[in-house]
Amino acid sequence: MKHLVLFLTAMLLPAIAPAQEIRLPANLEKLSAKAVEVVEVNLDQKMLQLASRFMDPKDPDEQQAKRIISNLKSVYVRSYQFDKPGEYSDSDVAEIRSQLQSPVWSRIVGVRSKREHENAEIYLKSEGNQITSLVIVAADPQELTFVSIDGPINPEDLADLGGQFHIPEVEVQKPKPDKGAAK
Amino acid sequence: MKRLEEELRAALKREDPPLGFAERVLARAAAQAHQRERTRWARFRDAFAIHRLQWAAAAVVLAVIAGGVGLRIEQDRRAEGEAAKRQVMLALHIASAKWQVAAREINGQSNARTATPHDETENHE
Amino acid sequence: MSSSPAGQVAEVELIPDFASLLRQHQRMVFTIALHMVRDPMAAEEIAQDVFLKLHQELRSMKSSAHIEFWLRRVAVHRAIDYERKHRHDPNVALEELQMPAKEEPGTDPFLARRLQALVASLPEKARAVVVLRYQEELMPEEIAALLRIPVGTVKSHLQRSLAMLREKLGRTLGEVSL
Repeated sequence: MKHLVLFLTAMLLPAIAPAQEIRLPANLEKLSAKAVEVVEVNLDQKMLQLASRFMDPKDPDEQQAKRIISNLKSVYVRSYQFDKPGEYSDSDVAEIRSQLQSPVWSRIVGVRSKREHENAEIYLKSEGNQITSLVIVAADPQELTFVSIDGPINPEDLADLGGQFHIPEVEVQKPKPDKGAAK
Repeated sequence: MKRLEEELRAALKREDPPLGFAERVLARAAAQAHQRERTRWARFRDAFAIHRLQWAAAAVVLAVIAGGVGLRIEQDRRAEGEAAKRQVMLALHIASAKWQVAAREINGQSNARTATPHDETENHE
Repeated sequence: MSSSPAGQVAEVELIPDFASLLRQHQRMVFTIALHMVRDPMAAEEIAQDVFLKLHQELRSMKSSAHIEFWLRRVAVHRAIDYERKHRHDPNVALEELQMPAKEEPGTDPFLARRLQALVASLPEKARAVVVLRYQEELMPEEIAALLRIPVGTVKSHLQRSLAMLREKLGRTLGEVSL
């Protein structure tokens, strides 16, 4: 049964690929079988519009979220939490990284903490001065997270996103258009 | 015999009805036709009245069903919308959290790179 | 599906309108009722009912002959029904007769009234046969068809009625040679 689910998942992945542009590799989905906690969010434009209609106008967080998603095309999240280290390997995210090596993507942040074994990479795609896609790949020994936000999102929105959710803002310089991927 | 038959023919000859007979018959016929028309209309009206009640009942039932279906659709739509909202908030929360990881490492690196020689941070433009 | 032979055009008889039929047949219907029930007012009531019935049934009438046949038949039966509801003593005294008897040259008004009274005293079927035979000049076969009884019965009613009328008339008038 599990094999069937995995097979069907693998078969369905290409179907959502065009919308999110970054194709989730089948081996990444396999991690859900090992994970103790899995978060999967699939929001296309229609669902985002629907969600925005239910945002509470009196709730500042929801209003900020509504503003952020207003022009987005899709939001996809995969987050796997494991009960012990070593449940996934670099090869599991290698395919995603390889997709992000394309010249249209710019890696603006790549942090690797040897002390906490925490890695975070942020990729942006832009058209002119407009950021049109954002991908975050975050990994620590017991957690692997992949976030893909497709659609126009301003650096200010990213800063607001961090501030609104009580997260310190990151000073991000706008990527140069069509900049090649940095290692 | 022939004489009696002749007398019978004479005695039983046709006679005119009382004056105004034809007019009275025509008047009654007209009234009868009018009454028949009214009866037919009344029958139709009664049938319609019965149907009107049935239609009203059917309309009420349909309205209740439509209301129920509409309410269910609205409830489903609301549930779907609320679910979508929760997913959006969760996705943004995760995105923010991961952004925080990067921010913390970048800010920490700029402040204490020398104090934390084990960290290697790359910051690309 | 039937078809007419080539060159032959089916004859379609146009039924006159109700008012025309009423004026055409009112004397016949009224007089049948009158000779059956002996009461002019009752006769008018019966005749009116007959024509009102015709008014309702006019669409189902096929021809003028059909209408005439139908009117005679319904008039007789309505009169019989009326008689049964308002049964009278068949032996009516001459003084009681209300019938309007027109006096015509060459006729004996007294004899005519007496004959009408005697006809009215006949049993209902015999009375109907006599009225249809001598008022409407119908042949025994036509009467049989109209009353739905055998021709022999019609003839028998006629013979016995004539015999009885002769006998009663002779008793009333004394010496008559009819």
